[in-house]
Amino acid sequence: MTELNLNKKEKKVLTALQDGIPITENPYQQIAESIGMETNELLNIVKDLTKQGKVRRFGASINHYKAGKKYNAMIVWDVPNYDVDRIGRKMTEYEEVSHCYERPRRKDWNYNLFTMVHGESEGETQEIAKKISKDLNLHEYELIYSTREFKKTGVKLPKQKTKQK
Amino acid sequence: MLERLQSDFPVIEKPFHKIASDLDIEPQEVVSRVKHLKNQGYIRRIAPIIDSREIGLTGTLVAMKVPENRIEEVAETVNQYIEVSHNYQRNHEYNLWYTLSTTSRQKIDQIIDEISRETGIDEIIELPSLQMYKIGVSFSFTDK
Repeated sequence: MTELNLNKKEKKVLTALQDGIPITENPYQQIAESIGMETNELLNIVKDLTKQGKVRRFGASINHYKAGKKYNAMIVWDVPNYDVDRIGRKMTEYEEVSHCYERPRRKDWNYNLFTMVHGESEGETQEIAKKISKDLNLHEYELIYSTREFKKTGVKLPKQKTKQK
Repeated sequence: MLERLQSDFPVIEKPFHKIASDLDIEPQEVVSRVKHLKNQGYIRRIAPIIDSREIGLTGTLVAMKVPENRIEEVAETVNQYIEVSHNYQRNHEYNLWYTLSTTSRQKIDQIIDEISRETGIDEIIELPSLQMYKIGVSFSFTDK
């Protein structure tokens, strides 16, 4: 198995933090104690990981279904190959677009650009798609809604075993 | 409060005290409100968001065509893997979409194969990201 780009202590800290800090006045102290580390050392490791770019941010993961953004459309676009890069960059300018990736076409799958759009109604996400389609002259696209969430945990550090149970 | 908690959560000994002073509320009040938001399910967790590439993980997106009456059972098989971080049913003929991330391409292929063998489903497309243009997760909330 390929190694993670983390030293032992960094891995220990991230593993201890990945399910979230306890909501108390001294949350980091509690985590540090649980892994036999001084609070200051843990805080410094997190700050350093952030500086290195290995931690993108520290913060709350919001359940946007609960918070009112109930309609999450994955909009998949068929973009001319030569123009993917320019269009991909353009997509980032829309506030409503939270994610944008280029992915390969496959047999039976002819879309190569993926954007995530969140709205408070289905109509709102459709309007956003129409606007982008018009602005960027992209007419082959589809809105695919999530109808059920089976898992959303954030990326976890791998353990030795593959399965959780 | 949700907006304040999403980004830049303080990495200091007493983070909720800092938020309290920013918002001009008592620290105990912040702790109890955040606890409430978490218990109610508005907040999933307060944690570091890792950059999977930077720490050496490889990821991909997988879509499967699952017969409607087997969707829960197949989703459960998929969810057993700690390498799966997202798993959604979507309204498309490819109706189950999950993301995988682990330390090697080989491991990814192995897991996709295992899931396929275990569920007997072979209509699968695998769509690794070739280029990432935006990955933003902050939402703004209007008062309602």
